Formats: sequence, structure tokens, C-alpha cells
Amino acid sequence: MDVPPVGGRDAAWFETLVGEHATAVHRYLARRVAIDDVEDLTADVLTVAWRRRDEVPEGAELPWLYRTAGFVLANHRRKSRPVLVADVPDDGSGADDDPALHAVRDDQARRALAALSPRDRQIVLLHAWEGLTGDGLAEVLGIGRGGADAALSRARSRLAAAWAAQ
Amino acid sequence: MSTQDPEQPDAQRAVDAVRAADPAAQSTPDPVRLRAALSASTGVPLDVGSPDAAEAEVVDELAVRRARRTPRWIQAAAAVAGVALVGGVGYAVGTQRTAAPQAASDVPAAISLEQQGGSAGDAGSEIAKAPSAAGGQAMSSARDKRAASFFYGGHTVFHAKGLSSATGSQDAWAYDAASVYSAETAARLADALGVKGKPHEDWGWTVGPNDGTAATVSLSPDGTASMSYYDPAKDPWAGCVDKSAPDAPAADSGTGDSGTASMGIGETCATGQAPKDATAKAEAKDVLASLGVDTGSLVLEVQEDGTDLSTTVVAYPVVSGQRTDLPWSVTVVKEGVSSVNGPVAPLVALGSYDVVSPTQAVERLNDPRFGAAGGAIPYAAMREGAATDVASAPSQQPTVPPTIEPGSPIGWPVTDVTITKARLGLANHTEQDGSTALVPSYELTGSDGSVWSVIAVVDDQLDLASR
Repeated sequence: MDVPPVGGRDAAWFETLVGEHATAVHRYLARRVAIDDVEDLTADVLTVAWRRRDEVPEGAELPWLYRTAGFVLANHRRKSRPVLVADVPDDGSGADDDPALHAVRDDQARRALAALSPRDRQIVLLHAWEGLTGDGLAEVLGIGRGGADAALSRARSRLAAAWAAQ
Repeated sequence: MSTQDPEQPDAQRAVDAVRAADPAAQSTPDPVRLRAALSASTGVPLDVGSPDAAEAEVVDELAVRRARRTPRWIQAAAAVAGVALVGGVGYAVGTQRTAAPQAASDVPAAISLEQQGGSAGDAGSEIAKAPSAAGGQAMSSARDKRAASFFYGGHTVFHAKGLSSATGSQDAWAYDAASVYSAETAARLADALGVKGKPHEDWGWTVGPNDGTAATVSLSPDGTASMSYYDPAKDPWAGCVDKSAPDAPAADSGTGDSGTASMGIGETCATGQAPKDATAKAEAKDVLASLGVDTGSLVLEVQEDGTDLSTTVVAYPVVSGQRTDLPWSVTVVKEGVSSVNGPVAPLVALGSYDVVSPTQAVERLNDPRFGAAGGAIPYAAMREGAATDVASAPSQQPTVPPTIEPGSPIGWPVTDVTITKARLGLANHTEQDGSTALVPSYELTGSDGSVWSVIAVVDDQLDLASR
């Protein structure tokens, strides 16, 4: 089958990308979405990577993939699901229906995360679970390096406060 | 990798704790399925991997559900069949009960072998979405009929694509109603719920009047020893309706009609906000625990009652990592619990049954003993995106159909469904005599988004004799 290379990115490039990063993308999604959807969304993210292969930055593929996964995730959440689980109607806090929280086994950790704003929580999880800091975190958040450093520092402080309060 | 912040050692400890609670630290994708999916979506011919590679990469669940590992036969199937689409990462097909409570959204739903009649609940409106592909115009009238009808018109054939041919086995369970159906059980339940009286036989063991005038507990002699508790005094609507009686003279209220005018009069009217969400769930759990239900393995969901006056909590027991289709239901109001119903019968293990392979399961859909005419029902069209615009058929004035031409073929549309996914789980099955079991069953998903189910137990272990 003919696969048109774009900017030198061909099947071999994609093969390598999938081989190196599929697990990371899978885990990112497994932490944040119902298990039924992880497989399909992982494939969606990597498919986007192929279709936009000219945009994927060399040497910073993984943050790009995480960022894309974030968009895919947001899109997915916006769609209503016709079957299976009826979402718990929450009291507006937003914390109750964050699948990432449901998955956290440690009660104290879960409560501390729930106490954070969604933005702080996102940053803490990208840091604690995806191991992102510095440029990588900035890339995923789509902001400048300085902003990312400041945001991470603040999020860590707030987590510490929430943690101590548990 | 993270440097200690000298001013906030707590921050690092907190982050480390969050890191340690990572639910997916060891989780890995199924490389064979992923590459197959990517090859299809991108057109890039990815190497699907050698059988050795597939076996070497352990198909693991989320760490939080370590107890539910995919059984070895599924991994072997992945190795043997190359592109395997059996069960897979997302579905737990373990053989032991899950002990830990789960978030409702993570635990797969029950498979249903029975007629849904719209009780697929959320899926009600999605039932029988027409296939997006083959048939187009020729089937438009048939498609409209399908949209309204429950089945795919019955003229449906199935073939499997990319499914495994590996057989295996799965545990089955039975509801042991006989062991609990008794006056003693009814008395125990009534006692726990504060309903006074001696059990008497009235379509089952009953405590209380059973005519809606006072709290009643009843235990049914059905396959699951289902119980029901209802206290009209706590029902926000029951007392009020009763009180809107002629003894509230219309002249008094000045409205001139009965019904709503009497809302304020009835003293037994429950008013006020019902507990919601976590509080409602906690109350539900408490009352279920008082009835002797093992609340540790329940998955609780709050349902929209559409009102502030009551909250319904549905609690699904989890078996083999999947929600059963016979949940407990508790309705909570401000004054407490107004109703409870659910299966009292405990589940007993029936042992392991041999199951057919996914490809054989699809063949069963074409088999009149099992198939669409005989028991395989499309009970949901679940993939977003696979949904077609059946519902958007424009409403127009009806017109007379054109007369059929002489010698032209008679229209006889047959739908061909390609099944691309199979999930082995458990489904409720009630026999002729009422005994109820959870039997190994396949949930089969078509490329058009339709979902079908069929029993998975091999022919040899089914009693096919007609009754």
C-alpha cells in the first residue's frame, strides 16, 4: 500500500513512534477515562499523529502526543454516551466525575486531588503520573516554559496544603 | 527525578503519594490489537507482531483491578490468531469475585440475553439503529421499519471478521433462591426495616398489609428470591394523592378542583429535599448492609429521578468483574428510605463451563437455535459515530408508492452484519421453571455499531431438549 511520506516521515517513522510511545499514551488515557474506551482512544491519538505527522516535533514527540491525547479526551468527554453507565449527577464541584479520581486507590491522595482546582489537578497528574516537568510540561500545557514552571510550583504547593488537610 | 524543594518537603511527599497511587503504572496496550486498529485507520502497514512478541507483552489490567487478569486462553488466542479481537484489555473475564468497590464507570455492564423491551435503559432509544453501510436506498423503507421495530427485521445474517477461533471456559453462577425463601427470611428483612407483623403467605412471604396502606415487606418465590419493601408514609407522592380526597372541600381552598390543592393538607406527605449523591449512596449502603447484603462488592449509581423529593440509588453486585443485571434499588427521601427491592438469593458457583470461540459465537447468530430469530437480540448500538441518522428521517406527507413492475425481483432485504468484536461475560438466564443463573455469554459488536448477545456455553453442556 502506498503511504505518502510527509517531510520524510514515512511508515518506518510511524512504526518507531508507535513502538516507543504507545504504552505511554495508553497509560495517560487509562488514568483518565473508563477502561472500555482506553483502547479506542489510544488508537485515535496515534492516528492523529500519523495524519499530522508533519507537525510532530522532532525530539518532543511524547509531549505532543500527550497534548493530543488531552484534546481527544476532552472531545470524548463532550459526547454523550448512550449506553452503559449513567453518570453520577454531581453537585457542581466537577471532582466527582473525573475518572482519574475514581482510579486513585489511595484515599488520602484521592481526597487531596479532589480538593484541587481542575487545572491544578491536571498539572499535578501530568507531573506525578506522566512525569512531566520543564519543557515537556510546557509543551503539553501549550504554554511557555516560565509559565509552566510557575504553574507546577503553585500546583505542588496547593497539593501539599490539601494533603496536609486530609 | 524530582528535586526536593527545601521549603516544602510536604509537597514532595504528596506528589510521591499521588505517584504511588497511579492506577495505570503497569498497564500496557495490547500491541496486536492496537497495530491492527492503526493499520486500518491510517493505511500504514504496521507489523502486527510475532506470536512470541504478543505472548511476551503481558496483557494487563489497570493496577486497581489486578485480581481480574485476562485468562491464559485469551492471551493464547492473541498469539495464535494474530489479529485477535476477543475480549481484550478493556474487559475483565476473571473467574473470581472482585472484592474492591469500583467506580461505576469502570465496571462493564451486564450482558443481556433476554428481551430488553426498552429496559436496556439508557440504550432504549438506541436500539435497532440501521447499519450505515450496505443497502442504502433499497432498504430505506425497511430501515424506517427497523428504526421503529426492535429487531433488525429478523432478516439478518452475520459473519465474523478478525475474531479468534480459540475456545475456553468460564465460570457460571446460580441464584440459590431455595436456600433463603422462607418466613424466617421475610421476618428478618422486615425486622431490619422496622416493619411490624408476622409473615403470612400472600403471593410470597409478606409482612404488613400489602395494599399500600402501610409499610410492607415481601419476599417472592421467584428465581432470585426477590424482595420488596415499600413504605407509603415515606413516599412523597403516595400520601398526597390519597389526601386529595373529597373530604377536602373545594370551597375551602378556593381553587375549585381536587388534586394539587390538597398538597398542603396531607400530614403524611413527605416534603423536603431528599439526600443526594454521596449521602444517598451512603444511606443506600447502610440499609442494604442491614439486610445482609455484601456491600463491599457493589457498584452504586445514583439515578435521575427528575425530582428533589427522592433519589434512587441502584446498586449492582459485581461478579467476575462485571456488573450483574439484577441490581438492588433503594429510594431515599428526606425521612429515610421509602423503598428497597432486590435479589435476596445468594449466588452459588456452578463451576466452569466450556465456551465456544468468538467465531463460533457469530455462527450461532446464524443458527436458528440461538440466532436472531431464536434469542440473539441487538440490544444497543453503542459506538458514537457508528450511529446513523435513522431518527432524522424527514417527516413528509405520505405518497402513494409506485406500482411494482412485472417480472421485477421482489424486494427482500437481508441485512448483513459483520461482527468485529467479542466480549465474554455473564448474562442473566432464567429457565422455564424460574430458576435463574448467570451464564457465560458473548457480547458481539458489529462494524455498524450494533450489539448482539448469545449464550457462550458449548452445545454439549446445554440441555437443548424442547419442553
